[in-house]
Amino acid sequence: MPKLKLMILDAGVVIKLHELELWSSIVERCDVHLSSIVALCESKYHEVKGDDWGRDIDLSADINNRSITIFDFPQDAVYEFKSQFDPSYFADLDAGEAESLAFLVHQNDDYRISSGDAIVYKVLGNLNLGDQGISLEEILETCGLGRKIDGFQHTKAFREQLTRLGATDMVQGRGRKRK
Amino acid sequence: MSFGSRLKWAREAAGLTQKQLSEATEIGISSISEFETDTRGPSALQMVLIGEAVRRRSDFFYEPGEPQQEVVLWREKPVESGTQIELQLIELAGQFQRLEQCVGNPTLFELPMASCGNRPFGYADAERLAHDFRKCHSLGERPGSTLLRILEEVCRVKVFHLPFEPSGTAACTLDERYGAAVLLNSNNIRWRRNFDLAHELFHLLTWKIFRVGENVALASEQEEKLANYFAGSLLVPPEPLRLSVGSQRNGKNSLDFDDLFEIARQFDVSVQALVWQMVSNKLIEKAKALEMLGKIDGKVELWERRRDETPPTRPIRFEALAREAIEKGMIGTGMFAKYMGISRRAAMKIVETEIYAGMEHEANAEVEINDT
Repeated sequence: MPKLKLMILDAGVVIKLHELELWSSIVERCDVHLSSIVALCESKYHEVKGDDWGRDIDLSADINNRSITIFDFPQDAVYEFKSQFDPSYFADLDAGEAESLAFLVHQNDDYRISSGDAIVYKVLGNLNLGDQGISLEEILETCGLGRKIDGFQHTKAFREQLTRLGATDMVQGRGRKRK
Repeated sequence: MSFGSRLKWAREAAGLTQKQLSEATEIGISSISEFETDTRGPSALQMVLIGEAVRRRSDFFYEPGEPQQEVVLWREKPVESGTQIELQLIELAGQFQRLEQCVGNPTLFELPMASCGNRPFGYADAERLAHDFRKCHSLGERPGSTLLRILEEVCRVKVFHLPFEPSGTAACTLDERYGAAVLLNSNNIRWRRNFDLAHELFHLLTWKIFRVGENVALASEQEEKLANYFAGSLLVPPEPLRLSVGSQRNGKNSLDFDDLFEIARQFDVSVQALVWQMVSNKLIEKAKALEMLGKIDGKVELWERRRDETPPTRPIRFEALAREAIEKGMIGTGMFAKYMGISRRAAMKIVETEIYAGMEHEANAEVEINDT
């Protein structure tokens, strides 16, 4: 069975998988793609426990042994992607999300796209790419790791709700600049 | 203007050399030079690093036309950190305006701008401006307790608090892109901040009068005196002051520090501001005021700081809009963290337990408003 080709747009998903101690299992079972910004900047955080100063999520081993794929996209193309939307449709995409979405619309691979942010699924719906979205809950289920996880933003219901919102916006002519 | 020219402009506006930008971003100096000459463009990751170093959004570098230099008016700009604080104020004001555009009220600001025709703006004008503003916005007889909230919620002035030195300073700016913004020093006590807020309000209301010609980012000594006069008149109106002083005297010939402190508390101003307002209203003589202030110097600060709290950097409205924006898919969690000045970890916790949890239970209630 071919591996699930997974593009994780949101550092929150990477962080959640580390918290659940499922990152290695997902990397093993999926063909994981991350933008350079998500991998090298946004996934880093300090998990503070008591007096513990915490740790950074370090993906360098996964990057070096090529168990995950990192892509680096030109900023010009990211700007061009963002420019197709009305300025008031969203205030600010995370830079990693913007880079990933720009990359996505520039190639034909059949990625499944995961995030825990409403803005991502809304934009996917608006781009008519809603079918490619996949929540963390669904990833775990697909990989045989299904379990109840905290956080509505990681559920299928959340993904579907926001994707519908974006799709409705597209149908009603909201969000994208008129050409 | 090209990407490269805008990058050079932003780098210089941030007070950085190419070498310093290279060190801050860990991007080679030759690459930065190539970006600035439009030989090639940066990757998205490099853009993030550059944007953070010069405190500009990536979109800024692609805007058409010449970049507009923001005018920030300081009362004594901090020598060491002034430029960085200024960039932070502009960044915060821009974030606030984007939130307003997407989920709030896109009106830039609602301030009655002053005019004086061709004649010079004088003390009588400042007093009238204070009176009119107080009346127009129903600030009441003791405006100190309501001024901040009215400016933020009604007039759409973006008021931020940051700690910086020297303590006796504040700043304001007015721009067609992000509206009117005021920066107050969170190291100052509340009564002092109230006065600073009223002082900066004067600069905003008279922006079109004084911010013309050369040196627009500098206020003259006379303008500063007018701003102080306006602030005193706004916060301590003459008639309520007379009544309070009369009530506090209660037959006595003089008022001691405790009496003055009690009146100052009523108006939410410092004892110094109160004393100078009493001088302006001819309730005490200037020489005696100076003598009094000399005696209580130090004691005032001690007394006033006892019950004070450090204000948050961002206004309540800013935080409310940021929460609404993430729920409605207007910003991502990373941006929410950046806007709120918190770690991604803390942002994830808020988003998970307070914002998206409400969506799950459809907690957002609506109420119909009668047309009448």
